[in-house]
Amino acid sequence: MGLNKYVKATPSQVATMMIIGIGLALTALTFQVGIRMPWLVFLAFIFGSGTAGYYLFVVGVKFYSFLVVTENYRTTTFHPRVKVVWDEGWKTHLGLVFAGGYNSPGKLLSWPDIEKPGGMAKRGKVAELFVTADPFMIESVANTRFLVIRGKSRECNHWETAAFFKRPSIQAAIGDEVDGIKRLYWVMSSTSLHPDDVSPESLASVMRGPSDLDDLASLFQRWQAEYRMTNEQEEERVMRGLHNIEKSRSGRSKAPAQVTVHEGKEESTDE
Amino acid sequence: MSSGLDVFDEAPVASGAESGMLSEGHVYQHSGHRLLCRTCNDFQRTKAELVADVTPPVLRITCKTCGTYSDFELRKMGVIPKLFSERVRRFSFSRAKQVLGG
Repeated sequence: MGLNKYVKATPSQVATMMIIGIGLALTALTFQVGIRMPWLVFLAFIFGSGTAGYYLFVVGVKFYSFLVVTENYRTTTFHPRVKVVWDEGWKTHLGLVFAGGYNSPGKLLSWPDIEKPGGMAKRGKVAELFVTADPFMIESVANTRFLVIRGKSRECNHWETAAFFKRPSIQAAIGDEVDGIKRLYWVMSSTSLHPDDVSPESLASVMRGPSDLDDLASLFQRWQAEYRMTNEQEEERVMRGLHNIEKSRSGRSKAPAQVTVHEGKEESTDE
Repeated sequence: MSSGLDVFDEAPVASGAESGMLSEGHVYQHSGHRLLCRTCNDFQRTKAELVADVTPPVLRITCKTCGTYSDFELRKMGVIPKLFSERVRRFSFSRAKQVLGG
């Protein structure tokens, strides 16, 4: 009855399995095989079997660690965990993203590695913490398979990290996990933040581009005016340069005939 | 509702689907990118509008589910949450002081 608690089988099946198991064990104990092979063949056999095992693992295993991406950094996490914290001192909400851990940046882990009880995964489940100045800067892609932090992450130094973790709101929210966090990143500004949809007016204003044919016509007119103005300025600049060249030539040769060409200018320089 | 499958349609999506197909509701719920809403405490669809009559102009991002919004100032370095703009400046100055040894 006690064994049935762990094995879902009838007593007769359990008895049969025990008999077969004991028989196999006795056979293994009494069986002896002697194989003679050169040591090079033995090494090749070990290497070949290892390669085959690794190949089968790589093609057969599924990787489950989730990606966390910022504008300048990429890491992985054991599970996509985010938290919104109200900071009383700053009077604002902060977004926290837990990432990293045993897996170094970019390394992927299989599910058994992540779930290994008491293993490496447990030691460093939280090693990196990203703090965004607004929770809207955290984006989920593919149903939290990827967490995209819309902003450039800046790693805080030791004093900044310690000061941040001493804040009462942070202590209240994640005080028991602070010891496991090795690196703190602040995300303050974003160059890639965008929502699901943007109104055409806003998009046109932001992109400084035309939204209809009238805008396009006015844009062309503005370009033409700018081009004309630039052309005139360029022409004036070139002419001024030519005058300067002629002036310098005339100054070096000290030919009075050339000085008379730009009489007014020469008079001013002589003064 | 239109006959075509529009995952960005605001109207309530129809439930149920033919055998072997994803329902429109499922597609709507599992597509697109979402931003973390502080009120819903979940990833939600959002919309944005540019508020240009304030200085500096702000990009207002609003949660489509609960209507919570945040204003982001448009700066040279990108968009910064309006409530945090001054703190970003102070943080940058303190960093500069550390680098310069001040």
